[in-house]
Amino acid sequence: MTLLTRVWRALPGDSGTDRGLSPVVGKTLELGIGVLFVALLTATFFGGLVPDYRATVGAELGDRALVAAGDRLETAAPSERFDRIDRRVTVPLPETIRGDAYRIVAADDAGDPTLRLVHPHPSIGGRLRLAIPRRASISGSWTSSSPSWATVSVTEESFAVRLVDGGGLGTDASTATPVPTPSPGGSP
Amino acid sequence: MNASQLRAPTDRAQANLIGFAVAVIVVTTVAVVGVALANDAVADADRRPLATHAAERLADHLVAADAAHTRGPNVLRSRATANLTPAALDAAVPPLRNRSFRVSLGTETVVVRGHPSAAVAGGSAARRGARVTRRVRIERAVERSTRIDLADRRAVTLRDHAGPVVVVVDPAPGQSIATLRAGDRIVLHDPDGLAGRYVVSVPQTRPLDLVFVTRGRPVVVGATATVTWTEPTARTASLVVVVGG
Amino acid sequence: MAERTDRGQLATSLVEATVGALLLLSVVAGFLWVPVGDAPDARLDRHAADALAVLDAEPPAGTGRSRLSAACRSPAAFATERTELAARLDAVLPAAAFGRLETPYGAVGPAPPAAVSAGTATRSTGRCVLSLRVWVP
Repeated sequence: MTLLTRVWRALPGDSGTDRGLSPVVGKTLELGIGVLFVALLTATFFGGLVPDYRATVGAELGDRALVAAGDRLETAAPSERFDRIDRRVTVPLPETIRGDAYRIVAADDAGDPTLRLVHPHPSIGGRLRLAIPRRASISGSWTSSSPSWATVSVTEESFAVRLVDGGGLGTDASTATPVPTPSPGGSP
Repeated sequence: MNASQLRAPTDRAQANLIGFAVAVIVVTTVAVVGVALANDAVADADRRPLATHAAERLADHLVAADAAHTRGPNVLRSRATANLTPAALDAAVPPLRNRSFRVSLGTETVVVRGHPSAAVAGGSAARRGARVTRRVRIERAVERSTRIDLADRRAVTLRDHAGPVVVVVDPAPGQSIATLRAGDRIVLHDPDGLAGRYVVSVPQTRPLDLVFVTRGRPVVVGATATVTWTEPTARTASLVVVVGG
Repeated sequence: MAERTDRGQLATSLVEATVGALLLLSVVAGFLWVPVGDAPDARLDRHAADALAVLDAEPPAGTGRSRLSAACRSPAAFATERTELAARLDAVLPAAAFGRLETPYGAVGPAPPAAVSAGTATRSTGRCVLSLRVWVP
């Protein structure tokens, strides 16, 4: 009753009350603006910004995982001449990218051995051409959720790189026989 | 008393609203600043992995000891390097296909394809380039030749040499030089006498003394020997590789 | 009395705004203060290997196969190569990097500070083991 009296007294053109709004309206406005502001901010962030960031970070992580795996394979399958290589290496891969498991698949890109990242999210993926001898044939695939290995077997005739998925292959092992260097000498 | 009671609630409401508006502005500003900083942080953390991988492999190939344009690890041959083509580099470095790149030695560009460093406005991380720098030695082979009269002089000193040495011996009739020694190693020996053109591999010591050994036999005037070798002039430079998306 | 209540209302809103702003800034600081950098040690190792390869291709001041092998042959040979090695080491390393070449007969270059991580490269030819440490201060 006192509130209403105050409001009614405030309304008829009093100089002190012309500038302001009544407390109820003021508070309601405040509340409304506050709620609107929070809703706007939430919509902006979760509607556009946050998914964008997650996609960018996911793409970057995917690229990095691909390059890490590629570097590992390139070290294990060198371009130098070797008579015979038998290698078995572990390849550490992050288990998930953006919350989902993914696969790295051996592929072929115009004759070059390539690794391809397969991920459920459309913006995460990529292909990496490997800097290994062109005659290498690469096969198999890795799943990120299980341990990943690679075996490299090089002989005179063949150069095989296999991506092996799953555990049970034991520890890393490597034997490599370099090509015997010709003895130095002059020619008369 | 009535007047002050009337004024207080409306003043409060008005001050409330202004204060609230200021608060909203402050929070919005901080949120915008935070988003800008987050954008910078994401762009900064982007290491452009695929382009970096291609750039590193290209740089590795350019300084490789067994490449066609190098004489050894990190030692480039000037003319062969200048004649490199994008197609040749593509064949040697598979990750480089379908990418723009530029290779430069110091300030001059050696090979270029496309515009690798061009930043694409609003482009995704995949479009920007990566840069790798290596220190190399560039050698230009200068052929040097000297002809000695074996009657006065039997030795030639090579200050710096690379690769095989060509020796042409022109003996005088009735006289033979049997042996050529390089450093402490005998590189040519013919009991019947050396005559004609020989290509010899010499040991790597520098400076190197080539000595024609006559072993006490008198040397007839008119016997000459011509020694031809390549002396490398070299400089150290930075090899910069930029590979785009 | 009216002024005191006015000040109180204004201050509350601003205090709330400040708290909100600080909250946002603390989240932002969380990802700004994490250091980001690619593996500097691998890059320094590469610089060291490059420098050794280039020095190994240079003719020696005295006699020998190369500047490096001469420095590694005997104490006398090392003494002959020493001054030129110091100058060449400076020229061969990238602009911002420092290096220290260690041979069985002595070392060339300043000692690396303890706090900085340094890249290393070694070269062993027969009896001789050379190592070069490179760091960026």
